[in-house]
Amino acid sequence: MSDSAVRIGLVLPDVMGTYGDGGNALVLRQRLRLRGIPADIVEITLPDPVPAELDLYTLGGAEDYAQRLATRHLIRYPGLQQAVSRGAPVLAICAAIQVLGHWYETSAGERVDGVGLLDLVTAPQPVRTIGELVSRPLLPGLSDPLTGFENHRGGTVLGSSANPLGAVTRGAGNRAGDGFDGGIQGSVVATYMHGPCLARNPQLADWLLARVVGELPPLDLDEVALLRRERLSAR
Amino acid sequence: MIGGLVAMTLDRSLLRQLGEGRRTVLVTGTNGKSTTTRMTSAALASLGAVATNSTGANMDAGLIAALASARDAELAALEVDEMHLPHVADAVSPHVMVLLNLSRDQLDRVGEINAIERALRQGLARHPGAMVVANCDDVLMTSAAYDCPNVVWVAAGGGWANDSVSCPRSGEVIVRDRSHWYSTGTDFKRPTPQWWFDDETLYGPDGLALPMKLSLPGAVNRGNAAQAVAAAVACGVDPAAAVTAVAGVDEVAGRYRTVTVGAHTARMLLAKNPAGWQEALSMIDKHSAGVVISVNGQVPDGEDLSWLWDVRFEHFDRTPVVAAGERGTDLAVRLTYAGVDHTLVHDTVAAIESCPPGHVEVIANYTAFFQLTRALHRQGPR
Repeated sequence: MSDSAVRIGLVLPDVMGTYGDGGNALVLRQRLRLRGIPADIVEITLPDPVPAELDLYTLGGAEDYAQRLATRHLIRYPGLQQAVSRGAPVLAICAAIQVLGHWYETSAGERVDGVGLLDLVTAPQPVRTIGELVSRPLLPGLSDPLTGFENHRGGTVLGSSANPLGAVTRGAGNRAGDGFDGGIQGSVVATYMHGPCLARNPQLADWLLARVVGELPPLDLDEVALLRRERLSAR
Repeated sequence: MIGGLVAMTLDRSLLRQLGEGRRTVLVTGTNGKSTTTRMTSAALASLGAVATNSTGANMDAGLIAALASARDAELAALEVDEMHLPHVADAVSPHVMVLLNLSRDQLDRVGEINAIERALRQGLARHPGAMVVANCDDVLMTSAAYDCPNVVWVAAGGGWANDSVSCPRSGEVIVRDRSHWYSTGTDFKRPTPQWWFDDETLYGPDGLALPMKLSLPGAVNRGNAAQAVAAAVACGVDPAAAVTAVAGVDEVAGRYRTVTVGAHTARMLLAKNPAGWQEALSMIDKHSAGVVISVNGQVPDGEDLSWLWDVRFEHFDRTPVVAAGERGTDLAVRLTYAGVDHTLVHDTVAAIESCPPGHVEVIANYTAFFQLTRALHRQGPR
């Protein structure tokens, strides 16, 4: 690893990686490398304390037990919280939204304290929401529709300090009927889109990277553009 | 709804009647069901006629059809969907139950993996007299079988540990130390296996050591063979005869078969979930003229293709790779970010034909595999 390389923290892929979410770190790294910018992925697994000095972080989804192990680890080793306090970008997917909130209620009805980086709370919905999810981005700087796949039972409600990431045009998002997906608060961006999210949404990937390295030249990949057309037009 | 309930009750009653008086082996798990069932059936055949669902139809209707078409068979080897095992066991009172492995399958359709393990555990508890042949390298299957009074533990291998970092019995961390593993939350650890294998030999109880050379490729099939032999031996088959029988299995419902497609020969591998993909990719002949990977996202495949990012594709060296299938674009993007040179040809037959002449390895998921089989059948040998 060279000193000047951008360091992307893949946080707890061993417990929070149910839906290919490790792919987000890979997309971020490759979108830098394809532009000639050195970048490395730093995997932070359960035996490791969470380092505070990485350039950006991604967290993925998990099942109940694993989600609880991850929550405990992030509270015990508050490197992520320190990184956020200096403005390092964090991408939190699915269960990670719940983990970073004030608290979440498990499917067994138990309330678990979260990390508290996001002003939101989560409780189970009557039915799981599963399927394609599309939203109109509400994050300044993003114009392309966001597309992904959602699969969660937790229903998330934002407090006043968190803003939604997108207005849902297909699927459920944070909570069925509310019409919003994800959350933004400070340097943390959260969404229920997995798939992984950044493979289908290069604009969001570059938005996160620009927070670290400044404005980036365009990087157009034909197959990514084709994939977006296919997924956004799918029935 | 009521019609469905009546049909279901009728099915269970039929299953019970058709299963009566037979010595039955049930095989379940995420991957390897068809292969292990095929091997078990081959090994049991030395004792007498065997009823088996060789086409892979592993829910009630398929089991009923298999049993009904072999009414006089005194033995049965049946693969059963993980979710169906408890009620099928209640109906047929199996002599042996084989537990292979549990990993995430299609999460947009089926329940999450810990719920399946708990359902299996509860189902097994109702059959204390049955012999359970369980893979002790698989944490979730070990948990399902851990409380059973009659277990034969087989070290059948477990390349996919991603779904068992947390202990299914306590929620705490599972620690791995080479092949051993243990829970940090409760008294739950890898049992000592009675059967294990290496590249040449299958080892069993009482110093048993038998040379084992399979027709099917891959370490994962050696694990399947070990469990099939252990199950057959539990039914009274001579161990050496069982090994000879499983070694002769060279095709499982069209899989592993090599077919001719124009100027190419193509070996057909099926993969249905991340663990299965990793296994199939490890079987690929790196000196082949090309690799065609065909991915669909229909309901039987799972509509969520995020698992593509859980599979390592980064090891093809210079073998040309073609992304194919209805969701070939999803795969192409995955390969792009993996840094794997590839082309994108959605039609799988055309994808094979686009490779340099010679032998092509084809890996496809469920509906893509059967679409290809049908397309090749329509074309006939050319």
